[in-house]
Amino acid sequence: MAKSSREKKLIRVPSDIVAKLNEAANKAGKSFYDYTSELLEQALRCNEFGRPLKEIMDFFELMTLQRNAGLIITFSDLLNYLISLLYPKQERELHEKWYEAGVWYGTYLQVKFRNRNILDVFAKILSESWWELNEVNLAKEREGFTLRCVSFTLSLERTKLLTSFLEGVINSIGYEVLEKDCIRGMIILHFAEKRS
Amino acid sequence: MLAANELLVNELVKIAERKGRVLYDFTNEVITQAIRADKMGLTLKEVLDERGIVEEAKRSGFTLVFKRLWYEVLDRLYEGSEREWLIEEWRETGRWYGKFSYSRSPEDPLRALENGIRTVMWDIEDFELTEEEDLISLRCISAGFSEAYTSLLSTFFKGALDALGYELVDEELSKGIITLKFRKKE
Repeated sequence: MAKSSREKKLIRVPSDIVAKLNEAANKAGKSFYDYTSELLEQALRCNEFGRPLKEIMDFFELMTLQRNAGLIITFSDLLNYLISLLYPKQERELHEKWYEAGVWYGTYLQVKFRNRNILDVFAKILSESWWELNEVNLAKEREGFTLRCVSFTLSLERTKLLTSFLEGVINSIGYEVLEKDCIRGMIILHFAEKRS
Repeated sequence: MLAANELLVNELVKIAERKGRVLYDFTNEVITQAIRADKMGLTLKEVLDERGIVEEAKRSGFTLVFKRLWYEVLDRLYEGSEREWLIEEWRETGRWYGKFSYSRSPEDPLRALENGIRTVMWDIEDFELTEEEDLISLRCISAGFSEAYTSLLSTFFKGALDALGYELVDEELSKGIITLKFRKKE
């Protein structure tokens, strides 16, 4: 006969975690048992994503960071199409706007991550939340760094605009671009620290 | 020690074993992350719900863009000679999103549409889709919308509801505020 789902089992957890759980349960206005049961049910659900819960929480925090930075989610095809309409007529203005957005974003990252290596933070953000980039690689080379971004979906116009955005970020965090190479879906930027 | 539902614990033991870990470590990680979510003012369920929708959006061809750049592009095109094209593109994208919502949840596509919009469209401050007898009311508010974006987004909503079998019966638009009413098509 199947066991009733109301039967209980004890799980060993450190006492400080039990105290924190108790606090969270009280805050949520739920009994300790109901609160922990809901939590463990969600842990099972997490398995459906095939990723550890910590990774899911990290991603959530990253998305919150992006949302706070003024990014929104939109339709990639529509964006490609609209840029392709506007780009031939307003190429220079668009590049200026994308560059300015990069400068702003670089400054935002510097303010947010004061004690971290901004270049590493930026490369991580690019690789984990710039969804259309299939590959992001930041390598230290003799006289500076090389950032390589590869996308299988970006249009040529959007690849070029992303290059301007990246240049804006790089310049605002204390580096200067020495060499750039941009073809549809691929950007290679070589840059070094600015000389004072 | 903490007491938990036996069936739940058995499932957790299986997952922990599959991952080559002991239940003690696995449970600790889960609880630590839940407390992290709690500190952000969220429950684990909310985090996972959002993750599911965002993950699906990512797979379905959505992308991240700076809001001000997006609005800039839309405003420039809306003011130019491409306005009609632009409106048609938004209507088509809305239709696509309506069908996408249906494919996500054929039993309740309106809720799927509402949840998707609330989760994915970060620039919307207030969004509500209510059903009252045979009328569907849609309300969308955001102080930051330009006039062009308000109009295009309303076209998008009309496209989405059209794809789900509803026709527009009433419409009120002002900068940042969209109110639409729909009825099931006969």
